[in-house]
Order: sequence, then structure tokens, then C-alpha cells
Amino acid sequence: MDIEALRQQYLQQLQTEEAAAPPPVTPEAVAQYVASDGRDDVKICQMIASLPLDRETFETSVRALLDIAADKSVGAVARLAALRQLGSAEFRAARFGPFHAEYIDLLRTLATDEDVEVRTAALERLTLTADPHALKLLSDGLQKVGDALVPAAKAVQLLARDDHGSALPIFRTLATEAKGQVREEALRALATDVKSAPLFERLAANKDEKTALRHIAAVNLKNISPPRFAKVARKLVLDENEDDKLRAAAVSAITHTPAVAEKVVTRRFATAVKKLRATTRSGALKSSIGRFSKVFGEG
Amino acid sequence: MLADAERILRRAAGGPGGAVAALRHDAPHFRGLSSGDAEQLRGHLLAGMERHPEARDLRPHIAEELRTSLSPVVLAGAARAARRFVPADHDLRGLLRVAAERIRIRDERVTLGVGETRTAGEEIEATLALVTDPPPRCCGGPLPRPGLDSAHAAFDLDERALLRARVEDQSGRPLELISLLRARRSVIAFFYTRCMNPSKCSLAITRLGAISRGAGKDWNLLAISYDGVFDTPAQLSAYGIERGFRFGERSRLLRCRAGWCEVRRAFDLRVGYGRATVNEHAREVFVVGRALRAMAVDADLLASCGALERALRKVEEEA
Amino acid sequence: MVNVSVKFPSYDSQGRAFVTWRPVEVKLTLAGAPAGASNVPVTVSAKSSAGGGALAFATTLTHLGTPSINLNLPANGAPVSVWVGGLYPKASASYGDVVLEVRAAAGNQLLGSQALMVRVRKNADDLTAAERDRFLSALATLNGSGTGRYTSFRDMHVGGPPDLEAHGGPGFLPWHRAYLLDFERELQAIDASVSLPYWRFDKAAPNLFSRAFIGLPDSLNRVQFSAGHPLLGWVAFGAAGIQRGRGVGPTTVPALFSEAQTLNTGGSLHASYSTFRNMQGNPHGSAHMSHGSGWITSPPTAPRDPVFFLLHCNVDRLWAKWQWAAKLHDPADPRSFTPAAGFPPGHRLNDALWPWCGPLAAPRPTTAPGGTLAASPMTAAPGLSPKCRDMIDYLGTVAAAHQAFAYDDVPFQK
Repeated sequence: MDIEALRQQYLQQLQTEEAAAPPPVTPEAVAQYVASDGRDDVKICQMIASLPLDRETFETSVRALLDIAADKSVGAVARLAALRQLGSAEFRAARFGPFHAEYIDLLRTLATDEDVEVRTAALERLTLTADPHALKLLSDGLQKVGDALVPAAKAVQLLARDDHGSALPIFRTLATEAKGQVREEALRALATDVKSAPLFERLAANKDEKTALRHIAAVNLKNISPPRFAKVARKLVLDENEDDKLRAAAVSAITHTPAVAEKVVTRRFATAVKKLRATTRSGALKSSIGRFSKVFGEG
Repeated sequence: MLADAERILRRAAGGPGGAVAALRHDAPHFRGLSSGDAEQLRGHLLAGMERHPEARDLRPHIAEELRTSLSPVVLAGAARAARRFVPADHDLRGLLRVAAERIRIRDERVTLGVGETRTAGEEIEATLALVTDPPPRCCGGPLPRPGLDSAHAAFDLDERALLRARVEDQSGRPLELISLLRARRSVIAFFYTRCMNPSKCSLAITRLGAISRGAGKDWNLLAISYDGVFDTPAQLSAYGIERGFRFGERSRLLRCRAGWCEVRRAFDLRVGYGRATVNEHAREVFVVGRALRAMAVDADLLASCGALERALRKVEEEA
Repeated sequence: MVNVSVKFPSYDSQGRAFVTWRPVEVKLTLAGAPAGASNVPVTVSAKSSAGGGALAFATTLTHLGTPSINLNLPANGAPVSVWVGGLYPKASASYGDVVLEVRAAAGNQLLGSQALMVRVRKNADDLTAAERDRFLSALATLNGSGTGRYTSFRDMHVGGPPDLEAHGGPGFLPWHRAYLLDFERELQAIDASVSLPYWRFDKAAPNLFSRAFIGLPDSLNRVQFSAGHPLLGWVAFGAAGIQRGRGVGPTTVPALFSEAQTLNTGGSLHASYSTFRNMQGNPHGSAHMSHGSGWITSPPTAPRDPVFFLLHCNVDRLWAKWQWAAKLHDPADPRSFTPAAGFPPGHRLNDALWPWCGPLAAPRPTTAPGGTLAASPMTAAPGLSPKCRDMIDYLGTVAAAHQAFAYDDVPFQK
């Protein structure tokens, strides 16, 4: 292949494609359009996506985006687009620094916005850095001392992002008493709670529980106590009446976690697993065992 | 929060440690709080110190927060409290500049009084503006060097209490803490693997790691976890390896399997606990002689083997 | 019996050789020739399996190699050099799917051979099922349930001073190139046939965004995988699993700058790095945010989601492609990297990159998770503690050393 010819061809292609793409817009043009009569949210979103966030226009772009996100007269879809682009700008940490305090303030305000998507987006972003203001709003909502700003399962998920938080007692209660997604999320939230190890062991072994819940319990156990998980995993894999998805997940966990493998994998176990591969009809289990065999041989 | 802080400070001021005792991480008012809430309270307590009539021994607390904290509200509070020491204190000025740089890309607005809202960076700048002297060094210059602070008095470890302490090292080997300490002189740091502030535990273990790789030390290098329930041998081992800690008979990361309360009391540890794990802690390093005479030392001494050796000698001499 | 030994400059611990598009100098030595025999003419070529890699040969370091070459090997056993690289764009799919063969020009007898792999970073959406599975298995092993080596990659890319090292100036691209290389080498230590794939974020990627590969989020932004998937036990920070918004699905074309918009400006290629690096906001930041929410949308949490590494691999590919298109690989050329003035430490051409340079004094980071850069059995470059400048000429276009990685759509051109 003629590499130089390829390069010339590529340069030509870049020119053609760039010409066909929507041109970058200036922050001033976005601000002007937002202030105009008859503005359209879809068009605002398109303009926001075409903001270059480059060296020359970074500050004015961020200013325009902060204004749009804060403007309640603008549709939620456009405000969300502005929030997303502000998130992009945040990846230029040094340039974004002077706006950071205002950005956090704005997000805290939007955490109680009338629009649930805007609220959720603000809470999503704030909880990534364990913002105490957002965590309190969520905790109050979950305990019914404040408005529930997001569904309970979401609130649990976001609260759990603070692994130095104070919601552990709430999670423990919900993990045993709640139902459906709330219970699942509460169980996930207990991932580093060593005191919940007996609960994880019980759940992982309980065939009456939903597979998804048992899987979360098993992974949590693996996380906090590989030796305790090893015992559970061995039983799961070798029990012919077990759920195949769970068995596949257990084989996978053994394969990729040395601290578990050293407790479980013996020649006898590897032979049993090899037999299982020959007899099971589950594709997932077969492929998990395939990976196991690559690492540990076949008995 | 402001009213809480004032009440706590008033109560502490009447106690033996004075108002500054309210800043201890193991104080009852921090118990059970999340780290975020504990930081909020600490920030307000520090800000309250600005005008508090009694604030003995406040300066090291301010310096430590300016040196290590990542929290906007704590830094803003520390900047407020630092106003008691301007315009004369040049070292504090250097620390304020470093703190301002640290918070620059993640600054937040904090409210430390009724209707008063500033960002942490603005609080620090406002304090710096009160210093009229020319700066002795720029922000990138060296910080005050740690020394053998005379405020750290030597003390005797409670032998009977430590006899109850059973520890386990990073390989899962069970050990008696008292036997380790009696075998040879020891440098002990306290830490936990889930610590969120890289200037605290991560740095301490990194520095211990550097010492562990050197030759010719006849001391134990021990680091004991504040969170022995979560910090399993596997966690300790991974944490140490990632920080270049060379494990050996004299260099171990430990967790307490029994007697943690006794260890806390024996070393008078400044660590607080929330619902999930540690919520706040000081940087705590001790030198301990074979006769169980101990002395807290500046955590930055871990950067200097010579200073540690001098501290060990001093504590042995005192014994 | 006449035979030819084939000696690559480097092998891994199992005696395997890996190349990219960048040729390496291979020594061919004739043995067993009768005393007084004359030189033996040979043909060096490659035998490829279906869908396997292909090789190019030349007598100098060049991009103009050909699929075969004729050489005369001295009967006295003096080695002869031949430069061997992947024949662009034919990369391998597995180890040994291409074999270098030395055959006698007369009679076509096989005199020597070496199985190898043309190992390059590929579009994740185009991987074979086997390539995908090997990558996922290595990734799961590296993750090791949230402890061990993976955690250092997580801890390098966090808030505070490390954030300034990674994102605080023009060092953004060199820093992430070193970071990805470190990560890829750790994967290769687990399975040497793996290379880091990239997410071409300006196109739909239905194979990548599937339950069988990088997972699909449910209504609660929990990433779901197919049964038995290696990443089912992924633990990056406390809780198991991955939180990712639903912004990118199998057919999504994210609203961000295309490759053409990233490399070009005003109808022509960015003339220098100082303007090209604007891509840090759009498309780089926009690609992170295209997911809408979750770990990937914030710098301190992004590495908790494995898609982060594929995203950044594409960011690096765009830089590599611009370097090739603009022919700017020489660190000494001021157009290839922003000049030194006006930027913080870590972002100037001769600055050491943290954390590979070790703990530093505040305000730079005072810890160094992970220690030095992982070594590669294939090359000594860029060293264990690289500087910004060391990350520019990754292919060894100007420098003597290459870094043993390349992209499937970015050729080597001398």
C-alpha cells in the first residue's frame, strides 16, 4: 500500500467531511438564539453540541451554558443538554476551576427543580463527589422527612455513592424489608459492610430468592470475604439443581479472583467442572467453564 | 450548624483541653456522622475559633488542615481561624497559599455565618489580604520543615492494655502487638485503606514504603489500620504493595483482631467513626522504645529517616 | 542440514514475538552450510492464516516494505538484517496467525520460520468474539475484584492534584498516552495477545454496546451483562457493578465532534498541537458526557467504568492520527507539542510525568500509586519514568525506539 497516497487521500477526506459537518457555533450565537423569540429547544441542543469548548471561547461558552442551565424558561431538554456540555467542560479542570463553585451552586439549586430529569441529573452529578447537600436531600426523601426527589431505588443508589456516609442503617433495613429494585439497590449499597456478611451468605444460598438478588449477595461476599465466598461459590457450582446463570457467575468469579481460586480450585474441583461442561446445556456456563479451563487446565 | 458549633466550643472551653479539644476527631460530637457532615462541623468549629476568647494550641490544628484538607468548608474555616495569627506568621501564609492552590479547581461556596457566603478560595484570599508583610516565599517554595515538636511529650504505653491487643499482619499471620514492640524500637503509623485523602494514609504508607526499602534500620516499621474489620490481610497486602512497601520481619501492615479499644486508648488516637467506617482522623505517627515509652511525632517526619532516628533515640533516652 | 535462524530483537518470556506497523530489525543467520559454500539466496515472506496478520519486509527502516524480499545469506554464518513490520492494514487476530518464513530461492525449501503476531489496537466494534473475550478476561483478572493493580489506575485519575496532572494543560494527551500504555502492558502481562481496543465515539458501536461486551445499562443505570460475562464481578469502588447512564446504546451516534472536525479546523489540518489539543473539551469531554450520567461522566470516577479505557484509547488514536496526517512526530518540532512557557509543572515538554516519576512535593501529588510504568518485553521505550516528550514519538518515527503499540488505522510512515 502506498502510505503517502493514503495520507493525501485521508487529508482530502477530512476536508470533505468537515465541510459536510455542522459548523462550530460561537457561545455568543447560542446566547443570542436562546434570548430570541420563537426559539426551539431542539435547535438549542444542536447548537450546544456544536460548541467547541476551545481555548479561545472556553470561558464564554461555560458562561452561556451556566445561564441556559439555570434558565427555567428554557425547556428541560435544552437545560439538560447545557448540563451535559458543562460536564464536558469540567474535563478541562484548570480552565473550569474559576466556574466550579458557581457550577456546584447551580447543581444544588437544580437538585430540587420541578423537572424530574433535571433534578435527577443534578443529583447524579453531585453525588459523584459525595456532595453533603445532595446526600441530605436524598436521605430526607428516603426517610420521608423531605420530598422524595427521585424514586426510592434511585435514592438508595445515589446515597450509596458515599462510602463514608451515614445511611448504612437505612440500607440494612431496606435490604431485608424492602421489595423489588429498592431491595436490590439496598443490598448493593451494603457491598463493603462486613457486618452484613451473614446476610449475604444466607441470600446467596437461598434458592427461594430471585437470581439477581442472590447474585448481588454473592458478589458482595466475594468483595468483603473471599474465603467465605469460596465456600458459597463451590456449592453453587457443584449443585446440579442450581440456577445456571448463578453457576456461570460463580465459575467466572473463581476464574478471575485469585484469592477465591486458591481456596476452591483443586484437581477434584477442576475435574468436576470439566464434567459439568460436557453435560450442561447452558451456553453461559459452558463459556465460563471454557475461560476457567484456560486458566486452570481441565482437571 | 453555626449554633451547634458555638455551643460545642463553649462547652469545650470549660474543659481541661480548652476550646481546641472540640477539634479532636474522636470528640463525641463527631461520633456517627458521615465524613461530609463531620467536615461541615469541623469547618464551623474552626471558623468559630476566629473570635473565640480562648484558643490555646490552635495553631497546629490550623496548619494541619491547611496542609492536608481537601474539604472546602474545612479550609474556609481554617482560613477564618488563621486570622488570629496574622499579620506576623509567615509559615501560615505559605500554608494558606498551598491550600488555595489545592482548592483552586474544586472550590465551593460555603456559609460559615448568617448571610455570609464565600468560596473557600475567597476565604483564604481574604485571610492572605490581612497579611501586610511581603511573602517570604512563593507558593511553590518549601513548606515549613517538620521538627521534633516539644509539644509532643513522651508517655508510657499502658502495658496491661496492650497485652490484650492481638494483631494480624498483611499475610494473615497472628501476632502479639506487645511482643513486636518489645522486640525492637518501633515507628508506628495509623491508617486505613479506604482513606479518601491521599495526603494522609496513602502518603504515610508511601513514605513508610520508602523507608522499608532502605537498608540498615534496626527498628520496626509498623502501620496499624483504624478499620481492622474492613482491612483484611488481602486489603493490607495490596495497599502496601501499591505503595512500594517492602514487607518483612520488621516491616508490616497490621490490623487488630482483638483489643482495638485498648490500642486506641493507649495511644490516645484521634480517630472518629461514622456509621460505615472512619469519618475523620488526624495523621498519627509514634515512635516507641522497647520499654514501651512512646512519643507522638509530626507525621511529616516519615519523610526523614534521620529525624525518626533522633526521635527514637530521644524516647529511649527518656525511658 | 542448512537452516536459517530467525532472531527478533525481543521476545516475551514464552519466546513469542510481537510487532506493530513499525518494522523491527530481525537478524537472519545461515547455519549448516558446507565449508566453502557460496552465499545462499533466500526469500523471506509471510504465511498468513485466513483473517490473520501480514508482514512487510525491507532492508532499511521504512514504511515501503514489501510482502516478500530476496536476500543472500552468507555461508560463513554472518547475520543479515531484514526489517519486519506488519503489512498495513492487515493485523493479527490471534498469536501465530502469521508466520515469517525463510525459504531457499532455489527449490523453495523452508529453512527457518518464526510465528508471531501483528498486535495493534483495534476498533472495539470490529473485534472477533475471541479477541473480545480475551480482552474481557484480562480486564476482569486485572480488576481482581477491586484490589491489586487495577486500583492504582483508579487512584491515578482522581480529584485534587492528580486531576491537574492529567487534565491541567497540554500534558493531557501525553499523560493519558502513558496511562493507557501502562494499563495495556498490565493486560498483556496477563495475556500477551491482548491489545487495548478503542471506542470510535463518533460512530454507532452496536457490538461494543451490547451485553456481551461492555454492557448495557438498565433503567437504574446499572450496567447489565450477559450470563457468565467476565465483568459480572467487576468491583471498582466499594460496591460491585458499574453505574453508567443510558446516553449511548447500540445505535447511538453521540452528538460530538467527528474525526474530521477534531483533526481539521477551517478546512485544513490543525497546524500545531497548540490548537489540536482543544479536543480535550469536544470531543473528549463530550464523549464522557455522551453517557449522560454515571461514573464515566466525572473525572475522579471515570476509571471505575471499563469503557473509560476504550474511550481514552480513541482520544489517543485521534492524536496519533493527527500526528501521522500532519507528519509531526518529532518532539523537537515546536508544532508537535506546545512550547514550555505558561503551563504548570507536568505539562511542559521536558517535565517528568506523575505518578511514574514517583511522589513529588506539594502542590504536585505527594503519592504515586502504581509506581513506575509497566515494562514491556518488546521494547525499553518510553522507560519506566517517562517525560512528556517521550510520549510523542510512540512509533519511533524519528527516535530509534518504538513503544510497541499502534492503531489499526494509523500507519507507520518514515
